[in-house]
Amino acid sequence: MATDQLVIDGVCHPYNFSEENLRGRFGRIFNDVLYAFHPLLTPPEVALSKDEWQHDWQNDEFMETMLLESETDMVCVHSTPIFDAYFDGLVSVEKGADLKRRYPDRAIWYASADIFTGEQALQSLEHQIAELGADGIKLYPAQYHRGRTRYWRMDDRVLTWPVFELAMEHGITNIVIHKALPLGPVATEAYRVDDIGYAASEWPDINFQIVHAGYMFADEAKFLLLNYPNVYATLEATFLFCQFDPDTFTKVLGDFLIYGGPDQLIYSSTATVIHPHYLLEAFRNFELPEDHPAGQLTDEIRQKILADNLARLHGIDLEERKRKLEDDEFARQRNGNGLREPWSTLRGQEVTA
Amino acid sequence: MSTQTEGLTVEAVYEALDTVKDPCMVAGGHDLSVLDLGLVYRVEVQGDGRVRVDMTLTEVGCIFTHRVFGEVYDAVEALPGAEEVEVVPRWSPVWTPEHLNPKARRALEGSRNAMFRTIKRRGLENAQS
Repeated sequence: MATDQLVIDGVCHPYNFSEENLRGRFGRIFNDVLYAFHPLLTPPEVALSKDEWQHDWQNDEFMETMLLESETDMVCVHSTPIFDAYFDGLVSVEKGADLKRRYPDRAIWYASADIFTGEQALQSLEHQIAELGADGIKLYPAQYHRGRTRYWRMDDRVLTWPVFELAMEHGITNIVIHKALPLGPVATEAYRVDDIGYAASEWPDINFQIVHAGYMFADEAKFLLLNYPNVYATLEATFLFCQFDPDTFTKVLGDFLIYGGPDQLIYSSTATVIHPHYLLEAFRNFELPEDHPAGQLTDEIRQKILADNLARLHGIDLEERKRKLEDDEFARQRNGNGLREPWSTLRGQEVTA
Repeated sequence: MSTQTEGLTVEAVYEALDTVKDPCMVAGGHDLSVLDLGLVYRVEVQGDGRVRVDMTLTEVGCIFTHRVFGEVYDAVEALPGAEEVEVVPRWSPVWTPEHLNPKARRALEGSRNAMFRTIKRRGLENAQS
């Protein structure tokens, strides 16, 4: 940002949006709905065409896009087991593990598995954590399969308690659950947030991040923030309101600040659906109304949202990390050339802005 | 918008779209379709049976997004002569109540008036009890 503080993107992905990866109509609609955000949030002169956007992002170009085309300094990537819409799940475990291996100081990675597979899921998660270095676990609450919906709840002791036990055994204290935005024609009950309180209460040493918190069920989410200090709002997609609907962003962010406070909110860009440069710019220019009961968005509060909170959840000392990053390959390129034009890496035209 | 040949016409596609009901309207007791709400921005039919429907929803990220788009695919793909259907979600221009057709406007205004009458009646009953 404008300050010399780091920015950690709480959720961004090297997606595989390619046509070949789409599974049936569900995959098609999934891609189409996500792409619809792109022209809405990108200046027309740089917006990607649908063909450009439907890309199988490789880790190198993803990292260069995030770190050399925006003020992002670190990324948190979740692997996604959305096998009902994408053949490789959309963000494969392999990509996540490769990011973690090659960019350990720049990337945080959350493992993922299909929780319905029981013991197989546990084995996979253990492998991703113990062998591949995952820093957290990402879960999805529902699946669409051949016209039927299957879903589970976070407070289902049979399904989720073994996952939490496994996490604790391996020192993993971040469990992330996709909520609020249904994936596919699934039961919307699964996307409510009323199942998180019990889990958060029973597992006080685990931090539960609600991904997309505030996009729907914002009232329920704000009371969770109020009641449980180990519940966090990870604002993927919700943060986009900052660009296309500032009134809603004011309402959601304001409520979350009042009920939860600035220590429980995590910035997320939703890249590469959109470009993080424009979102960070919008947030830099965003202010709460003067008389808002949450007060003003001070630099300190912004910094908590943009980096401090997620760093704290992962035990990252930001001053130490900053020193570590100040002369790596990305820092050298950014310092030498300035930021690149948005999407220039993807287009193979790495030009400085 | 183009109207095409043999069998499949833009009008037929619109008729099919009129069978797709908005789930929130149905929940509210209104038999209103995606057309009534003004969610369909454009329909294009090619001579070879390709159909493109550009449409939005009342809210960006609507919880019923996949369901509504899925039903639109079902309705249009069932038309004789529809060879390839593409439903293109568009969040711009953003939908507003101005998009409602007169039928939907009347239905929702009637509903609102009924709600206000109920609230008023309950208020009077409470005051008298």
